[in-house]
Amino acid sequence: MLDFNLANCLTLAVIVFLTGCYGLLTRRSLVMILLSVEVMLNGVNFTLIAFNHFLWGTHEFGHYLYMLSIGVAAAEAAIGLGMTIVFFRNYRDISRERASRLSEGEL
Amino acid sequence: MRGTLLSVAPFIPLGLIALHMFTRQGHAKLAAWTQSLFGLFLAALALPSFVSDAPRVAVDGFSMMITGSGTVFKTALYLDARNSAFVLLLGLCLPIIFVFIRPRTEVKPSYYISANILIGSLLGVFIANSLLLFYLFWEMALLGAYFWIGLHGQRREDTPALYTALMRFVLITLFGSLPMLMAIAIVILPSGDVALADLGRSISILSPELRGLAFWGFLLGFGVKLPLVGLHGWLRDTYAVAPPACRALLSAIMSKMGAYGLLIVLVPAFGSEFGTWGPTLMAVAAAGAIYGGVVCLGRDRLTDVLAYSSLAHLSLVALAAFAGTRGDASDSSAITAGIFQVFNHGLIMAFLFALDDRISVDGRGILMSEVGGLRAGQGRLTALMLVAMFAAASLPGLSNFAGEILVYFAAFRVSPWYTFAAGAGALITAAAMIRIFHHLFFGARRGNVVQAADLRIPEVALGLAVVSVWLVLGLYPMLFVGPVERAFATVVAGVVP
Amino acid sequence: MPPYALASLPVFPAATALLLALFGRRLNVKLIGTIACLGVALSFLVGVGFASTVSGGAEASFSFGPWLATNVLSANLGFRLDSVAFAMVMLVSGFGFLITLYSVGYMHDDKEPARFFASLNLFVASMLILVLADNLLLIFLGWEGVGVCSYLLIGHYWKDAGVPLAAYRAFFTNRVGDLLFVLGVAFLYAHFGTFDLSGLAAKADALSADSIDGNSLAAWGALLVLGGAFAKSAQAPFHVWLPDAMAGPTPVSALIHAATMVTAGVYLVARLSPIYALFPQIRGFIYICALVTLVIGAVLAVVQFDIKKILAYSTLSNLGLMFLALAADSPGAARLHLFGHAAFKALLFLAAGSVILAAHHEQDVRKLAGVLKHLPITRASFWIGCLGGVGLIPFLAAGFFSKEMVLESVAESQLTLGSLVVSGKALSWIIMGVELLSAVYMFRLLGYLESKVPGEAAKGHHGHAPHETSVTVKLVLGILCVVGLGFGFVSAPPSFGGMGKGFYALANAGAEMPEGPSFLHALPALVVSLIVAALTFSVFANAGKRAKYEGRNQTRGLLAQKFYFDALYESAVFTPLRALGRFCSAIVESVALGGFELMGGAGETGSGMLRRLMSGRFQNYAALLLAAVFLMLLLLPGR
Repeated sequence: MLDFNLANCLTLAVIVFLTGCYGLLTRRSLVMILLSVEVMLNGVNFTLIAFNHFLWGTHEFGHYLYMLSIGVAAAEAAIGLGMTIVFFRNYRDISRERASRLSEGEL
Repeated sequence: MRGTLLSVAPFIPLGLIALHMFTRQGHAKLAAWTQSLFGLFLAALALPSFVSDAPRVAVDGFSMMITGSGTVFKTALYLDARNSAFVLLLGLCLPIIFVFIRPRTEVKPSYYISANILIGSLLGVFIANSLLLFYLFWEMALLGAYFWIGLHGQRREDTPALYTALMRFVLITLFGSLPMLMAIAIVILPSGDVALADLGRSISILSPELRGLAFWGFLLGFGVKLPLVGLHGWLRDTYAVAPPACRALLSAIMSKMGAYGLLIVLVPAFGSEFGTWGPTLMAVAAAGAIYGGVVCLGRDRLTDVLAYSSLAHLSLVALAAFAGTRGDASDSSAITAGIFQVFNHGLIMAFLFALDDRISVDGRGILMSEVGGLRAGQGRLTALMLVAMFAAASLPGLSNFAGEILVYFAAFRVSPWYTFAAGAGALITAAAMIRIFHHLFFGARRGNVVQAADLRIPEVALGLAVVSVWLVLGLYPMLFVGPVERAFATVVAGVVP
Repeated sequence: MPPYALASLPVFPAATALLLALFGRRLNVKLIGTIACLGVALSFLVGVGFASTVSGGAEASFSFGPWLATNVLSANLGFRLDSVAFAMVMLVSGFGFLITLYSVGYMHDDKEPARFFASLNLFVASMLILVLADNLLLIFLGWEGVGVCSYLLIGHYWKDAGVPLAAYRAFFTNRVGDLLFVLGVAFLYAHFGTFDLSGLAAKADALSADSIDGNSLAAWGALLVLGGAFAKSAQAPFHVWLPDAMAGPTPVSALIHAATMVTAGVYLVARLSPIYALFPQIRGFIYICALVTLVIGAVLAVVQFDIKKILAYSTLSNLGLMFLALAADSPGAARLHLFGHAAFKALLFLAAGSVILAAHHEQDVRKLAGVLKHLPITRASFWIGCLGGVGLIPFLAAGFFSKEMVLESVAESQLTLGSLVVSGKALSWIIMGVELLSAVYMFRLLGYLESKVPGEAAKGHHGHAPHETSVTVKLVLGILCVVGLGFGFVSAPPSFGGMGKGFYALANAGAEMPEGPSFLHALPALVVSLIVAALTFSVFANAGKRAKYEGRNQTRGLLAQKFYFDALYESAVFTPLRALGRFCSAIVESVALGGFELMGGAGETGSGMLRRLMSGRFQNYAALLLAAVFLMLLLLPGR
């Protein structure tokens, strides 16, 4: 049975973060990629809560930060999804290949 | 009183910039007037330094911390006979450049705005009395020149694209000025920003390795601007593509930043380094004089010939500077000779480039093989050009003559043979100068010069004023030499025992 | 005269020069000429005013204080008039005035008279500075000044082909000499510590040839200054510019390229003779160069057809003679011949100018044959000048005694060069032999001009025979005839009655005149010269006899190529220099720039490689970003 301590919490956070990373780098669909970013963000947010609990037990600053981060992430997800929808309307496709237009060769 | 005027002076170009920003038309005429007046102001500011017993003027501005470790950025200005020579040169060149050289078509205000950035920074370089302020103006001058050339330059048939030439100019200049920044950092990190005259004291606490690094850093910075031979890669194409007024200013004043650095910043401070490296560097300078002269003979475009003659003549200035140390002490006569030559050469170059622009009809510069026989129609132009060529060839009665004698005698004490070589270079350059005159003015009329207008009376008056400066200083050089040498002795007395 | 009046001597002509240069364009030639004459005349009169000072053995000096002074050198703006300088001032301003006056007539139809007279005045001013300056640096001011004026005046007919090149050559040669001069002065200053002529002479007098190292700074200085003097006085190997300089107007040839400027080198070396007395090796060098010049001048004068070129080569030869006297350490003889030569050569040039003017600018003696018949005053001038040039008749011709003095001085000296020692006696015989050529070229010229059969130009234009032209030309020729004749008396040594004692003392700061040759001693040379002169005259005055020599003269060899000096300089100096210029400006420059281009190229290649990382796929960017973050975390210190 695992103990509830800082190290284990951080390990969990890293696992969540890396899962998100994996998704970010490998998924083809823009929606899945956005999802992965949210997962990564949640990994980071988890560290905020963990640090606050184990180091600054009586304070609530970490919780505020977590709230802020969730809020920003929500806004970001809304914008990202909106862009994805616009993209789909224009191209009938949300794969990452279709969206790779930054390189000069394909301009 | 002079202190107040001195501290106002660097702000005047800012005012002129504002003036051009809010003016709709007639910039050329406005600039001719305002820049001439500004030039007169500078001349009036500088001239009292040449009266005997004129005190050194120094103004201290604000200072501020720029890093946590306590390095201080000071602003301070000064004026004595040495840098007055540079300020006076700037003051005299401004009317020449802006009265003689007018853009052929109406230009955007950016032309005069960048010009004033350049002019203001040049002035700042010459009067700044703290190392960081000096560097600030130094780089700002590059900025002004960059915009002036980049926005208003013109590609010639035989040059690379404007952008290439410009980038070359900027990069090679940075190749010198970044090592200089490193040198400045080495000097000021231990003791904070220093006054130029205290540079010698600040570097005396450095370790020998750092001292050496600082020396070569400064030398590269000044050597590229001058330029020394080998570091002159930017010279030809930059001059060729720059707008005529900018070209004149580059040659007459901006190259003198390097001379200023060598003669006033570097040589008095780094006595022992120059004791060691002086003769070697003199060999470089002598090689530059010969090389510049020889290349002069091989070029066809007038601006190229003038550019390389400038390389040769400034090598003589460098020769004087490098001969400026004997033992570990500075030699006032070499420094004075160098400053005198700087003044003469600047005035001559401004004038020659101005006349060069007047000869060409379309403002694109002239090829010597394509034009000739100007003498028949442009009498006034010919007469002034002849005197200017004579001045450049350092013929007697004109100030360059006395200056060159001083350089030879100063350099002779360190190395007769390098002096001889440099003299041979000056000789070849003089021959090239006279060759220009023969090509352009003698023989049958050729090319489209027939339409080039002769000089107008105000221009002739201005030209005669310049000629009279040459004459007076040529016949009685002590007017200039005496005060400069005294000023140098005063400063050095405090630094080098 | 108060001493400060000395400063006004160069100021008068300089002021008129400035006046003419600025405002002369609108004036007519007579007014311009009057102004120019006025400037020189004032100098002459002020100079005459110092006669009483100088004849009393005193000297006048005046200084404005330092002219160029720093901690390594100090030269005054100072003038000093001793009797030597006085004689030179009289020569420069006197001849300057006469020739300016002559030019008023000669240049009457010139298009740019103001420029001509301004330059001429400026020349007189510079030359006066040169002879009055009390130190070497101020001399250098005048020294280069006369060179500039010479350049301007040679180039006066700038529209004619060949003239700009001649001016350019004179300029370049003189500049080479000037560079040698100023460096030589620097060496002398490093050794003696003074620029003052009197100081230098005093310090050199205190030394002796044995007490000074032949390799010292002073020796190098003396040698380099000599180089400057050679260039100015057209001694081999710097003589090439003088014949070309005849492209200038004839009065200029008379004043600058015969009477005054080209003798500046002689004047200077004579002034510094105490220094040259210390170095027999350097004097040996002078011997060689002067002898070469003497021969070149005399030989080439014989084969020329241009009337001015004949006189120019004769000038070369005579300058060689002056330097031979200097090599013999006998400045007195050199100065005496300087004045004698000025007297007859100026006369000859002006007479030639009169001929050229009368014949509408024809200079070929073959076409001018017989022209003197119509020009009585010019004819007298030519005869007096030629007799003087050959030194045929004692007393009645300018050159006789001065040439004799030069020969005497050479005979009493010896040539030292390395370990080679040649006795002066042998040298003086050689010189005498070469001098016989002067009888040939002078009387060849006279023979042509006196020929019975008139040449093309001597027949006249539009039915008018050539006639004497302007009144000023005639006046000046008359005056110079008197001067030329008079100089024969003025230069007579003690052995011939000693009328020349006074002048010799004046021109040589009070020195005693040497005894001179006895009449019997000089007689054989005189007789031989007379015979040669008479023979030459009889041949060249006769159109039939001279024809075969004319054909023979047009060879392509050594003489036509002027001993290959021009070709040598062209192929050894100018062509390589131009080629080097083109090479440097095309190849070396692009290589030098290539270094910077290479740096730019490296940057471009590098950026091309890095650019591949920027694929445009955001997941690649994200991977890079993450990799970088993890790398940084790993490197974070204090784990």
